Amino acid sequence: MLGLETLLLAVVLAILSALIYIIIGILPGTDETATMAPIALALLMIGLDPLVVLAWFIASIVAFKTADSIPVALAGIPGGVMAVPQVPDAVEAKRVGKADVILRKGVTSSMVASFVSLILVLILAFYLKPLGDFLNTRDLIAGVSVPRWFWLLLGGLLILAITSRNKWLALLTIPSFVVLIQGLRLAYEKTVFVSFFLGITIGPLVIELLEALSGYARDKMRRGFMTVKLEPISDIPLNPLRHLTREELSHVLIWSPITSVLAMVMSPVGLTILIGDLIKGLKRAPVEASILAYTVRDGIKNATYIGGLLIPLIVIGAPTGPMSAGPGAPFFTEIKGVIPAKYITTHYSYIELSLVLLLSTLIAALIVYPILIRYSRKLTLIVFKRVPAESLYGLFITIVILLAYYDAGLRGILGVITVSIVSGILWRNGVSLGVLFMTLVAAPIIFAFIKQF
Amino acid sequence: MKRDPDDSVELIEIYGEYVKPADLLVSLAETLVLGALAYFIAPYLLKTLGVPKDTIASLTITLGLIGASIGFFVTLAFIKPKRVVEGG
Repeated sequence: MLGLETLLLAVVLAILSALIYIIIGILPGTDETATMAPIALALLMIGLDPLVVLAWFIASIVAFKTADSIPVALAGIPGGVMAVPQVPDAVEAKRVGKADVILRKGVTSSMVASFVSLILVLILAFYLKPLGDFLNTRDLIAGVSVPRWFWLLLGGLLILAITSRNKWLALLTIPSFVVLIQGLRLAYEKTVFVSFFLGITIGPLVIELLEALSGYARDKMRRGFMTVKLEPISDIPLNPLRHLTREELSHVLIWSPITSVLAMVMSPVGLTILIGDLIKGLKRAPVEASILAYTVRDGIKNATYIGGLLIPLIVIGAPTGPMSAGPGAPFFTEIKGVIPAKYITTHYSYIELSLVLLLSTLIAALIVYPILIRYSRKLTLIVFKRVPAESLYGLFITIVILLAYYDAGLRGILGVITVSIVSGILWRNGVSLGVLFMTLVAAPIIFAFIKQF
Repeated sequence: MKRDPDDSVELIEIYGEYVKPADLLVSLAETLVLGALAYFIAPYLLKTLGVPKDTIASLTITLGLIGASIGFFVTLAFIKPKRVVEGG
């Protein structure tokens, strides 16, 4: 039963989350998993109701995945990994002085896509729920008890590995990483998840940091500060109905629901690239093509994050794709004997769950939309001038170290270091981090098969 | 911030951001020390405050994270971003 106290807490956390993640969204160098997962994990570990943490998380998706393209539109710098595919189109639009055009179109597209995909996901998940029992049934295959959702996970994992830049390394990584994880678990004498997960998350940061500090990566040395050129923008009307053309709106309405479902097993960033490129091919004029692709991609970011988390969470209770195994992993991780995803679906009715999700999306939209339409330039200026990257990286690494220690003591910290070095090197060599997140989830089952030989 | 910063400042690029190694180490050390201090003092503090044993474990990590967040805000005061914003 949803009590008033829980509901109020959900509202408060959604407000806080939207405000915090606008800033994190604007900041460059903030990876999605690294900034969303540790904080959600921390909130779950301190004993907050998982539904309240879900409200926080959905608001952070709406805010983060809308604000991360603001620095793209204003300065050509991505505010997160998901905004990277938008950079070339933004540069094209800025070249002809249309920074404010893509800014308002992007923000509005994100808002539309968030609601459309959430509503579709809620309807779809309701009808797919019976499928959950089927997918959670365990079959005995070659002496190993395998839940059926595992095959979805494995399918998504193989697709992601094959589409990785270094596909052979990615494919070979799967069984090897399984052995590394299971081997470390034997050394820990318990089934640790959090420290391995955090290790993968900060892998790229750790490798870049170590290389730079040792002077190994000479091409990363810079003299003088980074120059950021902010485009001037004129006043933008608040009325969202005036921002998108009919063509843009119909593309957002078509692609955001489709990609939100595909993100159940496919990579959000992969979908953002794929669909954007597809749409770009429809237009002859390069500037028009770029504006359309930029706008639709902005919506797909929100849609894939919402669908990629909520469908596995509501229907299956286990992660099946790069989103649910990555940024959304805290909800599928056993914390003090409770799996948050299962807790949410068993303790609350479908109506209550839908209400909280719609409410947190609405709250986030009401905060994010006016702030970004009216003050994005001012805000970007303040954030760029006041928040140093050093402080942020220091905070991320500290959060990871504290959570790993809380998870498994000194072994937890050493596990984070081990896994982060391996993950960072693999990432540097063209293996998508999603492959590692999904392998971590699949590890016990794959290992049970490996042991047969 | 100076419009034309000293070119002799040696920076490294991490994740698309320019970072001064010494500043990064100082900020990490400060945040980590405050976080760890709060984390390890928390159980004793909470015990003297009469908090039930079951909640002490989860409040310990909460206080640790609050400590780290305070550390983060303190670093904002003395570490300057390595960006020059044009058109501001």
